[in-house]
Amino acid sequence: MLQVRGLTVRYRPEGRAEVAAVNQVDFSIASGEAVGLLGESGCGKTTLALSLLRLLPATACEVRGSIFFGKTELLGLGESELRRLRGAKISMIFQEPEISLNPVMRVGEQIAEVIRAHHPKGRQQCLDEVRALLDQLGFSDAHRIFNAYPHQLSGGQRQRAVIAQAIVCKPSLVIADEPTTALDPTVQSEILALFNDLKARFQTAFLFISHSPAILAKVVDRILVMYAGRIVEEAETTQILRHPLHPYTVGLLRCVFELGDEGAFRPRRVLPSIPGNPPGPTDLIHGCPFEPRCPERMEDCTAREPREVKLEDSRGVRCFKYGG
Amino acid sequence: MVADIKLQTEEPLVRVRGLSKRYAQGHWFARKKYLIEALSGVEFSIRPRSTLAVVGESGAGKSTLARCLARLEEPSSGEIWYEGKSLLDLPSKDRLWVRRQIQLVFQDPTSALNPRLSAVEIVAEPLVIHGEGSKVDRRERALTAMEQTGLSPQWGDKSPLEFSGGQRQRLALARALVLGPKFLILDEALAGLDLSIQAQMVNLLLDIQATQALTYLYISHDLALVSNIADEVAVMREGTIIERCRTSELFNNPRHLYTQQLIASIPRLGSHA
Repeated sequence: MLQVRGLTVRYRPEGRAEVAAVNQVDFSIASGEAVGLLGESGCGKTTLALSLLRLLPATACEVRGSIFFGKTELLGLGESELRRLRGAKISMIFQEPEISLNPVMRVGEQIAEVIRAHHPKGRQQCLDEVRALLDQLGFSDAHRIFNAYPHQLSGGQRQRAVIAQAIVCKPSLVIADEPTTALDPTVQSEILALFNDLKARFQTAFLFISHSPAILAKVVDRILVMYAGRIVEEAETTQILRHPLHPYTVGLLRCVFELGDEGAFRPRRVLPSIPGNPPGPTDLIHGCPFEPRCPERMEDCTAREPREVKLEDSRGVRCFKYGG
Repeated sequence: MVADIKLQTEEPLVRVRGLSKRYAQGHWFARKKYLIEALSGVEFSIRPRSTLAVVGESGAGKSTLARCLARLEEPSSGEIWYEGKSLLDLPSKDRLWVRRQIQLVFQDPTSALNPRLSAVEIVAEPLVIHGEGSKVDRRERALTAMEQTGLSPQWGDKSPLEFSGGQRQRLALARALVLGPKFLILDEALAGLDLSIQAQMVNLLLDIQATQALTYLYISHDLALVSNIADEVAVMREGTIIERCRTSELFNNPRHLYTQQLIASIPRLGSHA
């Protein structure tokens, strides 16, 4: 359903040299599939997500490659065609629900606005549809939420309202950029359960962005691991978690704070971490971008960048260990 | 076991009794204001060189507690004892001494660091405020503090904006350490960081605690992280501490239903691995 080939996004910040935030990225999402995008901050996850909806800031000076959504090439569309697509076919959920909602509009009206932007329906009909949707989303008091202003809701309720906005037109792809990061742990697990529920009920495809493998493990079928603007590993969730291949993925999974087996507390010890920091966009990269932090670096690693190696079961990895 | 008994008999560094904080809310010229009780009857003590973690969801009163302890906020009632002295009615000559002993590190290092100063100036600022040393001397001490937190002294003249998120938090930590404090309040200090960086920082905090005999109050909503850093955990809800015990006991045998829910909501890799 979504096919991205050779996507490269370059920024030219004011008065500084051009930098590539996303570099030669290939991936696809089938309809109804939930795909996770995993990586540390600054590795290009959000830029990738924004480029799918063509929402990049003006400093993005170059977007190359191709993004096919069904049979439409998104990079060739004009602004009015994009407006028809956004919110109706592809929608996006951001990290902070506070800034995604209009503070002076009732929540119900805001959600109905999305329908009215895309369908020639009457106001009352839209509002009725929104009421029905809110009931479905498991709000305990849907009526109050409908008439409330955003500031009257808790963080979790606001994020639910934003999710309602994103799915009200039954889009075929929802992009969620760290949708639970700003929430409390118990609310976070409720929202993750809601995503799973939506996946089953609406057959919507999801691109779920997170820096936490543990969160992705709960919702997605397949994980793309991103580092320095490149996808360095791609595999089904279970495979990635059981047998990560790329040293970066291995490192990320080790950093998950574990409570130990069956929740038993593990006494203090030196925690595994990945040394150093991910390269900034302006840093020059020779060879493999992960080489300076890699515990398994070899001689070849600085010579050139590893190619993607396709393994069995649609796995892919960019590392010289596997022949890249 | 011997060590355990010794630890328990040691005088606590910080002791808090019946701490309450009420805020008046309502329209700013309304006659009737209603009171919000952010803290009510909070009690705990922290042994020297140990870490107490306070966990709870947003609005539980964790940050109010931190601000009361750092004396940024005046509690409505209760007592705070630090090294056997009551912080709430301290003679004015001791106030500066306390400010030196107790340091606070905030969640968002970007807004906590003045972008118009260089890294070394930021770290040296507490020394300026407390009137310590000559200019050269202060720079020297600031660079040492930076080194302790794993920042290269060569970066001293960079702007904080040139640092990554994790490095900025190291800088904030260096500034907290430069006066040689004994008690550090870390208010969600690692919350915005990547997992790999969080793990680095936890290691750094434990390391500094051991070498400089520091005591931590670690405030967080992240129970998995807390299980790796704290000796004791206090669970807060609606302004009160509902459960407080040793970390291992809390995770193995949570008594309160709310604590059980919090532990159950930690995302885990378990089911796949």
